[in-house]
Amino acid sequence: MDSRLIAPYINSTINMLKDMTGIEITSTSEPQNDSGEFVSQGVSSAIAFSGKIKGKFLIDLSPQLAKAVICQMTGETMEDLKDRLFLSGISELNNTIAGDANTFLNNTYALSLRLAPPIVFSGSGITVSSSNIETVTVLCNTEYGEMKVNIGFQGGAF
Amino acid sequence: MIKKVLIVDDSPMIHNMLRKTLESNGYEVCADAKNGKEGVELFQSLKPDLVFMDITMPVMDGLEAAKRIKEMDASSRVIMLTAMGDDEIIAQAGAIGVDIFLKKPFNDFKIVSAISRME
Repeated sequence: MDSRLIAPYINSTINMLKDMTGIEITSTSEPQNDSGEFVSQGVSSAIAFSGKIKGKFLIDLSPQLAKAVICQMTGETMEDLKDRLFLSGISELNNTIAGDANTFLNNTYALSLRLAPPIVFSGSGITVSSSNIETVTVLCNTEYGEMKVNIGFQGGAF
Repeated sequence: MIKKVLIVDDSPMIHNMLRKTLESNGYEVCADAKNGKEGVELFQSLKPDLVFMDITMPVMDGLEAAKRIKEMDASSRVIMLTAMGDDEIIAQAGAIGVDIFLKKPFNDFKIVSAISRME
């Protein structure tokens, strides 16, 4: 995949997670190409976007990291990973990261990308599959656990 | 003077966080709308002093909702609060007459400063 499409999402993940929650990503893996299938580990959110190209962005947080994120957002401890407000917080994190990355891509490459409302789901072992989309996955580490980000664009380039 | 605020966003978390910020700074949240269509209807019935409007929402997006609100009342005050902040979308919002454009994430200072600019 065109690396110009990957870097903004990694940068936005690092920056928006820090801005929204104060949680720092301490390390990231190299982007790994995958088959377009993604298996969740805890709480996940997917968002699609379209414009001059089409794509999707998915975040998947370990349960401990998801709880830490929501605690920072709300000031409260929440244990129920299926709580409506809890899931909404993860969804909003995804929305903000993808929005930030797409803002950069739009201003830099005039892609006119527009987001759809995100979806969010809770549970490990859920397989999310996208055909016809080339995707990469990056593992991000924090003191609370792991976050996977999965970036996909139809055609893999623009 | 701005007192009564309408929040239009499809995210319960944004309603939760923004309401806390507004109420702790002395503003009254008169209603929560979860999409642009609800937002327009509530604006018509409640006549808030200020509207916080997201863009990406189901049923009706925030740009369309802001346009309809401005058509109903040219003196209405609308602050766009959205994850997308590229030049093209800012220009679209400006053409509609949106008063202030704020990119998420937000904090208390950002919100209170924006409202102060509208007073």
